[in-house]
Amino acid sequence: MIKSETVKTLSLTPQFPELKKLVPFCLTDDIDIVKVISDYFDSCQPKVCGRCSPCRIGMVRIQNLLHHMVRHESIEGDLERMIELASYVEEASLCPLGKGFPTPLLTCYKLFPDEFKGLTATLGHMA
Amino acid sequence: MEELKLVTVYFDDLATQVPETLTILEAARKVGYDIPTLCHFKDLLETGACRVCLVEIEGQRSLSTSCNTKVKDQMRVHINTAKVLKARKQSVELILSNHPQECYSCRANQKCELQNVAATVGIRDIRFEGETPKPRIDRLSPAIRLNTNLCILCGRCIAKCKQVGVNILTTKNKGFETVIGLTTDSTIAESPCIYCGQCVNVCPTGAMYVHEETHRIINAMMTGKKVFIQVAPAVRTALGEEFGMPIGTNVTGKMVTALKRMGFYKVYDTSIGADLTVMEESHELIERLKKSARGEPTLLPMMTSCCPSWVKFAEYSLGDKLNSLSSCKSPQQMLGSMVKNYYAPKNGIDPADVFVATVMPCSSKKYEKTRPEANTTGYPDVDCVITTRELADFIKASAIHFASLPDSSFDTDLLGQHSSAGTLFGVTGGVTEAAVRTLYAQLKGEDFGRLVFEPVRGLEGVKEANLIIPSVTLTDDTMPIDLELRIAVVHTMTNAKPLIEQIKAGKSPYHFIEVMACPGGCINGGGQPFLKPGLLSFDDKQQSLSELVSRRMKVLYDTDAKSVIRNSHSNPMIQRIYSSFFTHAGSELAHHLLHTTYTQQIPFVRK
Repeated sequence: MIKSETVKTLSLTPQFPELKKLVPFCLTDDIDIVKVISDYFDSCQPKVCGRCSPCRIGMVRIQNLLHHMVRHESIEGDLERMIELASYVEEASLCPLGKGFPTPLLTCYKLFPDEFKGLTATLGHMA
Repeated sequence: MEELKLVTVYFDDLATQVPETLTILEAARKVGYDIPTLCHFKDLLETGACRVCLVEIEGQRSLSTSCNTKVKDQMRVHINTAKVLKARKQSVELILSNHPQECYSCRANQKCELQNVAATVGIRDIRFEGETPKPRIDRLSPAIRLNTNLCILCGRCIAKCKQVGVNILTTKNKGFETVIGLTTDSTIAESPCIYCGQCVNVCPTGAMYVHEETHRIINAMMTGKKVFIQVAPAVRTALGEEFGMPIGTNVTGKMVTALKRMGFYKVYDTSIGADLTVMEESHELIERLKKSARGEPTLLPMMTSCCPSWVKFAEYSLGDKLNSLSSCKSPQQMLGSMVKNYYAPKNGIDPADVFVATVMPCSSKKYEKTRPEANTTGYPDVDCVITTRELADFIKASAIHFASLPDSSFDTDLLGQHSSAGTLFGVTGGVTEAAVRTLYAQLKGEDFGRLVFEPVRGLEGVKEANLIIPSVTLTDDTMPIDLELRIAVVHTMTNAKPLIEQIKAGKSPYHFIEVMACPGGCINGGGQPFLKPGLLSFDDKQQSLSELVSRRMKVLYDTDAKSVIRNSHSNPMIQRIYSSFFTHAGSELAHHLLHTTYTQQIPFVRK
């Protein structure tokens, strides 16, 4: 059982002052971060209430783009489109839950952009 | 009146003084900004679910919706920064990515708020593909139908259904699978939906729609039938809007010319049907008052039966007091019945060759003509009902340029003259006003004069009036008394519910109750041209819905003020019908042709 103070000390607030609370998630080096994010988006879907359109439709569209990425089916421009959409959902959703859903994707992209770019770059040639 | 507190709001750098009760959207409109909106509907829905009317407020972490954010003092709002424009465009783009791209064959084409807003924000490309929800189309009902495929889940229909008082629409499922459905889990046809069509009137797309039947008129004309058309009084108040005329333009003359050019055999005004209804209804009320005076079991108060939506609601909610509804058919059915059983035989036409089409401001009339009681006189009273919107489309398809048409008047043979009392049936309170004029004359044997019955005019939800008719003899063996007639006029089912409870408890203080399902009466019916905020002009957008409806209302009251024949009983055609055909109001033949029956239904309780 992690105490709330422990979470506080572990939080990444100094690096990301826009985020009030963060729950750390420890992963080893060999994990595919895009797959983790894709699974995270799958797990988010049942929590979407469906009231506002950015979250209701945007989440499905991001999920779709992530699935493409994980399956190595992305085409050029998919990554930019996805990040743009994620920032929009974060910005425009009705409730804090909807605003919070794309945050892991955006922070991961900020921290490990190469993981994402690597997946689309190789496939950019094929497209 | 309390003085409105003014606050200073900055739009970009423009300082504006506005009352603090306004939202950012309303305040911005006052200084000439036209922020695009989609789900927003004034006085109905301000959830901000569509996220189209986004603006940037200084000091806020993310963008805010302008439709449901109230202004604050010293608030600094940015309406057209690059960030806002991009987010607005993305909102529409996302909604469109989940919407069929079949505008050219959609019945809401050019009347679609989504289409409008997409053009406004400048959508050129929809970059997000992916699955779309499975279409669920409910097309079994005779009037209101639902295609969830076109739905953008704004929630207006749910809010409107609740406002009208039926409250059977709800959202089903969660997340991406969310759809609009019925609380009864049935199709619309099997549900207690009263087909008022208010959900259709507020739907921004074509998801909720009214079944269209224009093709049946064309088929009837092609098979050589004599197609009679009758036009309801409320149609003329709004038809012009479909042709770009301002709200509240009276287009009676142009409409009749158009119908005659389209090849209808006869063009009649439903107001003569309304005159018949007034004659029968006021006679019925006098009979009930007389029974009551004799101390017999009484059916007071008498409730009107002109509105089929209300009739259906009453069947579900009145229980064993259902017979307090007047047994009269609605004006549409009465005139249809008269065409087939009075006009046709007198002119040597086989009623089987007669096709009665009607133009109604109403979606529920489509349901009314399918009721089993509407076919009891041998032939269906009415064969086909089209709405005002369908008529406008029909006129356009008939290659007629409506605005440049000359005026002409309705046909003037056997059923061709009407009183302006009948015309008033188009507004809430009009039935009462028409009935009172005739009731007074039937009781006293003389006209009231130019009666303007102010208490029943206007758009309040519940209107009450007391009318004292001096020295009336109701029974043969008593002295004449001063009859005090207590009247209530309500529109929407929300306002009717308390009166229904009173009647069921046997405590109703009224003698006569008029009910109409649509807010404002037929002029704001489910078949009228849309008064949707996204389709209105910039000036009209700033008005409330009731202000727009009262402009239509004014058309009918102006007609009445100018009219020569202002009472149903003074209409010479009505006098002729009663002297030569029915002998008197409430006769056996009149009962056969002009009256109907109702069936009690199992009430519906929302879980």
